[in-house]
Amino acid sequence: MPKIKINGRELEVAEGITILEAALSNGIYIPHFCYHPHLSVSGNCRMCLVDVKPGPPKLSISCATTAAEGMEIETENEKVRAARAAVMEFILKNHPLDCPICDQAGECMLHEYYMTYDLKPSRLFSPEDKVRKQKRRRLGKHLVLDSERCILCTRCLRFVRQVAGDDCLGMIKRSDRMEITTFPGKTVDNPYSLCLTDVCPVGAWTSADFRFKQRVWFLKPSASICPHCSRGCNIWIDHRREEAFRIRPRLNLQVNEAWACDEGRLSYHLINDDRLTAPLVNKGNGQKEASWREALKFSAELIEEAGENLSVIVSAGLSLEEGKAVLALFREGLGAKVMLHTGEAGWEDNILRQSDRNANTKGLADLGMTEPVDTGLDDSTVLVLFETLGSAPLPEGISAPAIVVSPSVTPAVKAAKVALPAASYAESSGTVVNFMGVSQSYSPALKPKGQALSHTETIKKLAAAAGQKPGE
Amino acid sequence: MANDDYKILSRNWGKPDSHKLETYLQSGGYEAARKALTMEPQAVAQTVLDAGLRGRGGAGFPTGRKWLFMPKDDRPRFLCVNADEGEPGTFKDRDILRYDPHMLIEGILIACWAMQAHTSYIYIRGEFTEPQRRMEAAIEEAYAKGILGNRVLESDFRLDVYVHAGAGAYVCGEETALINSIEGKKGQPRIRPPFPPQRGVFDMPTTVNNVESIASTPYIIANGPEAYKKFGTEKSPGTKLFCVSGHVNRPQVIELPLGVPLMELIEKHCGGILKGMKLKAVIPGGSSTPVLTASECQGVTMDYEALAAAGSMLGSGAVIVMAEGTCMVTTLHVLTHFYAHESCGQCTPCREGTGWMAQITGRMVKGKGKIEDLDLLLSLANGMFGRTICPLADAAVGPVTSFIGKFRQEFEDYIRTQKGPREKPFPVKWMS
Repeated sequence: MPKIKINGRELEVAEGITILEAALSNGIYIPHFCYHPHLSVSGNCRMCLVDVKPGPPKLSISCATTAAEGMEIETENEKVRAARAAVMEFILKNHPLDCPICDQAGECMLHEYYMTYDLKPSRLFSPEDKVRKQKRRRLGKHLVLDSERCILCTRCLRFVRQVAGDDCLGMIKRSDRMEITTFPGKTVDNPYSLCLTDVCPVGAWTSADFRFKQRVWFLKPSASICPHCSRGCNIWIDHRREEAFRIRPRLNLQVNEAWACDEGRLSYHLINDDRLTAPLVNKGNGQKEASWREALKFSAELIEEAGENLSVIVSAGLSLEEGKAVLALFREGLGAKVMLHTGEAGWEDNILRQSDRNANTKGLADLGMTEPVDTGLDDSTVLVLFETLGSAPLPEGISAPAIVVSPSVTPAVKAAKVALPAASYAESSGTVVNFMGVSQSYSPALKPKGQALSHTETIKKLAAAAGQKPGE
Repeated sequence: MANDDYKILSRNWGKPDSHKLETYLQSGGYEAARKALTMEPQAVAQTVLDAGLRGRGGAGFPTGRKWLFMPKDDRPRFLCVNADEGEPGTFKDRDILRYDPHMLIEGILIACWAMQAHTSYIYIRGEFTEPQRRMEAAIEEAYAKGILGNRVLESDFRLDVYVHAGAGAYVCGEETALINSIEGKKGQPRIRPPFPPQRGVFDMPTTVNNVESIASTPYIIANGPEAYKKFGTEKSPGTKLFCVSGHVNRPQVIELPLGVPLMELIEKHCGGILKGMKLKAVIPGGSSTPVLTASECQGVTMDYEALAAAGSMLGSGAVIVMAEGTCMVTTLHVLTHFYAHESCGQCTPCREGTGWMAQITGRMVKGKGKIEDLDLLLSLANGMFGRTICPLADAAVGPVTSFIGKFRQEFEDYIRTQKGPREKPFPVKWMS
């Protein structure tokens, strides 16, 4: 364990780590653009220059210099400050400074570093001297590249090669005409393409989906867990006025590092769109909005009529708490058969994506919910279905469930006798266990939509309604 | 020349068919390689180190030491010969490649034996089509005669030599960019460490040597280090190819012992300045070395130490001579434009700085410069120097600081009086 000194502070750091890593892990900030903790080192932005003694007389880049015994490192002396200011000036020389229309404004490293390390007026003769490059290039289904804003840190290149395993991006041309672009005939359409908007320290890569939708400083991030596969990626839901605007990965080295898949990110639309906001009741004369009271009463009647024939199908996206409540009421209380609905297996890769599209299959299985959906149920069966956001449709051959508790307007909801609006993962709290057995909790980011209630509350109300019936 | 016994590299150049194997064999060709193959590999490297041969590409690092740096593990080793001669003013390797390619092949053989490398790449600048054809023909001859291949000169040593043509990037003359280019990647320097002897081409131990360094080794092996040290100075032994261009009567590539006085090189060997004009300035070692004024040229000798003491560098031995009447503003713009065109674009200070400098000097040439621009240029130079992965930024800074430093008055006068580009920036048609 080498002992080093950073700005006079003695530190004992792990063997083999770089000066930048040593500084960052000890709360000493060294500005950097091209360094990314989960990508290889490229050492080209030159922002992390520090003064290392003993060492060469010139400044060294801290991202590529291994901390060695006895090193004395200065990160804030005159020489280092001057070098940083020079690098900032060079980076900004050809930067278009279109911050007022840039989506990155508010979370732009260039912006922040200018305020912290440069703050000097431009010495450019005229704005005409800026090198013009292509703006608004649609280089993938979800991505737009603005080459003028690009500071050529090559994080995106390293991401697509090293993480997404998709060799689609390269550099063309030299000097200040250099640009990032796709190789001929290729587009950035790998399942992780939107991570480029995270790794990009500036506003060069922007999400076609999020572009111009919202100023980031208005957004409030709430920590959550992505429910769309059994990985359970840690995410931020960025929202404003009860509307979700985007999903970003949240660092978790054990589960998803700093990444998330495009499908997961874009699934925030499910939080906003096609939501079931009020109970629906169909007493043979078409589905109509009803009060909770009326819907619960009708539900209780249906449950009572069913008697022995009552069965429950639970989406494997339900949390442990919700699963326990279902088991307590329906299996123990009403003696119903409880089946676990996982849907078809989807595609998977060895990066993040799991073929099991449900957040909590393992957790619910551990609770004892292992029985798969029985497609041979006869017509006399009265089905209760608990759905979550993005649940797979029921397999064919199953008669329409009588009671559906769902966050969205799904086909099952449309065919149900009673449909009860449920809060999604973004509006409730719970615990899910991912495929590795990691148990993760989430709490609400938003308020439930309309009259929606969380699954546990709905189950409580159903229990109360069913319990009120005499003779049970 | 009256006394030609110092001609080591250029001894065959005048002969008819000097590039043919037959001609080379007649002058004792491949005897040094045969001798080397009887020596211990380590001893070959030691001999080259003892001869004091210093890298002729510009940096002047002892060639033998480079060879001895190669790790002795069982990974395959590579020799890359740097023939990407791109430094403005330099055209020496071209003549070795086209007039005596077999001397280079023999040198490669010796170097590969010393390092026990079985593969060598000759990275030839893309624009050098004729030298490339000659080199390829020579390699073919050598394979046919059993000089290269599985049994080199009837020994058990195996050696394959390949020619790799560059694609026109100056920066590929930098060894790690050259390695990237050989691997088929974009020619951009790599961060060091790891150095090429640890992880070079295809991540294997690699040595990159200049053509002239390699071509000097057959003489050293054949005649011993002492014979080589007879030429040149104590710290810069041997001979060097000087490429003299610019306003001299006989621009040429000429081999002379190191330590030859610069003025002797110009006056005696190159026939003096054109039309008897006065000397104004000399760039002594290729465009990136700081310029010397006429008075600084007096008494300076052409070796690593003397030029360093004079504040410049021997570099690649490219002597660019400028006569009285040369516009230094225009000349500087030609140079800054070159570096702006050739920066690989990787490191921020170089990528943006070179282009910015070229914009400023370009504006000056058009008569739209401001006096403050001179300080701006120096300040940019300060922000670029020593801040990048490879020395291209330092090379770009060299002419800027030395031109403005030594000819500031001329720059200021130009900015004050010139309202458009100078009609005749050079006393004779030279560069456009």
